[in-house]
Amino acid sequence: VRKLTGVISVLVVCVLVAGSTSPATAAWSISGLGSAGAGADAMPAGLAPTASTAGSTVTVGWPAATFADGTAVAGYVVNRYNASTGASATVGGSCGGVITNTSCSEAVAPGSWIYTDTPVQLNWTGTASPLSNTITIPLT
Amino acid sequence: LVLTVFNQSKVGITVTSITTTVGNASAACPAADFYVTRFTGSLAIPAFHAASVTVVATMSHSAPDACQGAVFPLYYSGLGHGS
Repeated sequence: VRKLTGVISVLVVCVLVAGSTSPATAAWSISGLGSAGAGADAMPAGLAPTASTAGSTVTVGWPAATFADGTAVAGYVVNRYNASTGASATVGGSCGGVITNTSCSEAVAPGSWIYTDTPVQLNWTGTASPLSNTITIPLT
Repeated sequence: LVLTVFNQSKVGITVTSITTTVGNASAACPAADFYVTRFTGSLAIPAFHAASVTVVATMSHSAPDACQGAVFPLYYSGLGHGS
């Protein structure tokens, strides 16, 4: 949450309190009103990942995404797409689910593939990163 | 969240409480997902001067995705007495 400053102005109301046997005294009660707004952070976009291969194993890494104040996001979701058709594929290995690291690896079927990473934080989801380089797993 | 109270009167005052009411940021991002603590204490402010207190603003961990970048309206009310 960004830091904001709220402002309240006050008006003073004077109330005279007269006692029956003592001199009159004065007391003041005050009330004030003000308004402002508080802006919530927005999720950062993912940063472009880099993919590399070793046999049929693909390792994907990406720079950490951070909020405006420099705080790293809690995790990432990695997606893999067919580089020719754009069809989404199911990721596995350490790339499945929400990842708290900035790299993962999985065994991949033959074909040409590209990856993205998407920052996530609790219920919030950021914008997916640009596409990675294309990696190709040859038929064996 | 820093709250600054201006005393526009010609007498000194002591503010004893400041309450913040949070409004909905949107239909999908309700006020219930944002909290601001209440100030209670003794904040002395001379005539025609200002003083500040800090209160804590917190967003719920269950805040939905729609709360990204949302702006919550905040309404303040304060009570006090003449110093």
